[in-house]
Amino acid sequence: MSATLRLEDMNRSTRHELTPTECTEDRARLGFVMHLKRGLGALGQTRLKALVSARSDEDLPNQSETADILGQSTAFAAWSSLNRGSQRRMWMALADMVDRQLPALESQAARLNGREKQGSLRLVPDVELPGYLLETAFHGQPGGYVDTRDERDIRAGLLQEAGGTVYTRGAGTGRKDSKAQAVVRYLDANFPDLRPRRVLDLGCGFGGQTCGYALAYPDAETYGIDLGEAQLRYGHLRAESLGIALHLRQADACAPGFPDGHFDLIISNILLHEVPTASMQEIMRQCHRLLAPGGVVIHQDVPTQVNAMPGFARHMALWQTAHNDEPFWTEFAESSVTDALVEAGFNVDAVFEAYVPQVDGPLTWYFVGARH
Amino acid sequence: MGVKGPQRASAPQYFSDPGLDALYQMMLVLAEEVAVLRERVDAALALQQEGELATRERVDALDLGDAYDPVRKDFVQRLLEPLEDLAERESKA
Repeated sequence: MSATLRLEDMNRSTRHELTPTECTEDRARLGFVMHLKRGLGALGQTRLKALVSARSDEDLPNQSETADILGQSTAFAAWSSLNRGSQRRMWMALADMVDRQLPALESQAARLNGREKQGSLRLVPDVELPGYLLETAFHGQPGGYVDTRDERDIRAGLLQEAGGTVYTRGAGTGRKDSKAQAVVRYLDANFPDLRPRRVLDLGCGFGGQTCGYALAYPDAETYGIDLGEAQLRYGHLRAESLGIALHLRQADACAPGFPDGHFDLIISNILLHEVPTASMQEIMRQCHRLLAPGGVVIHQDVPTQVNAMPGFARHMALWQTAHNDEPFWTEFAESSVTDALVEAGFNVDAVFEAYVPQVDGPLTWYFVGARH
Repeated sequence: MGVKGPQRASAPQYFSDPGLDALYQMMLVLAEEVAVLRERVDAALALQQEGELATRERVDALDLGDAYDPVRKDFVQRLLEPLEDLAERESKA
């Protein structure tokens, strides 16, 4: 385990031996995209919100009225086109940056692979991939989550880490906080006696948050599962470069393997809104099976299921479904994770949910989970 | 060996005339290139100010830093100003 890194260091400024180098052109393109996203976000919250208020007879127009008003607005069409375009520009700029350096980064990955390892990587070449993962470029990411070219490929992980940084900074999130920090703060406040021996991160991607959990619980073995081979390969070497022991496995969160009661803490970060409801329900059953008595499961996700959310905010949140390659966003907003936890076998009194404001940004996190 | 995912996002249409959507995307490409050109020119000028030769390598490597961020922000604000005006006109219509 790294002697120097702390959980607070695992934010969007984390650098390691596979971090691509930005040249002036990259900084200019990505800076342009970030400010475009911020500018469009602000324009939506001011001018478009004012437009809906001006056109409505209601004090707080509901989502359907908001949709009708914006549907007739040329300004909203232009905003949508530019917003959509900002995402396309972001991925083009990142692909330019990553692909230019890919041979050098793959050589660096090979060097890292030759070093003595602290953690482990287990890939399953014939793992079954759900159709939606093969058909969806989530958030417009070229190749989506599972794109894998050959047995050395790390590109999807490189793109995912770099894209996450630009996207969240464009949404107004700062560099000083991470999802893992938010989850650990919540756990410390609500389950101060929790001392996990084994931690599992579901849908861990390139392991950005998983590294945070390994640092937060240095006495535990930290596991992560995901279906993206290139993401996991990158995540494994990224963690090794940081001196963090992660055990990454290629598996579906609906069929994670591992013996019953194997974990004391199971986490997911923004996974549930990217799977169909039936999969979300199966994930809750697997969490119940995998947790040891006294163990805790916590899922962090988008706060779209708040029925009290004002019509304008809800409409703008649901805009993501059709416009940011999020096939299950609306389905997630309309489902109940707490019901799924109870149906999976958790005691109704042990189920919790909470809405927690970001420390370093304007967003709200949704936490939902249970103690076994 | 290998899994091929979709290489680009779906392409929704926002205007009744799809040519307008294409035009907005073309405008964004141009605006981005202007931002790149300007930042590279400013990096070259900063090098020249220090009496250094503005080679491609030096321009690529010179990070103008956080102090340059207001320039990028200001450019985007100007770019979005006509859209702000349009939304305001629609509010009053």
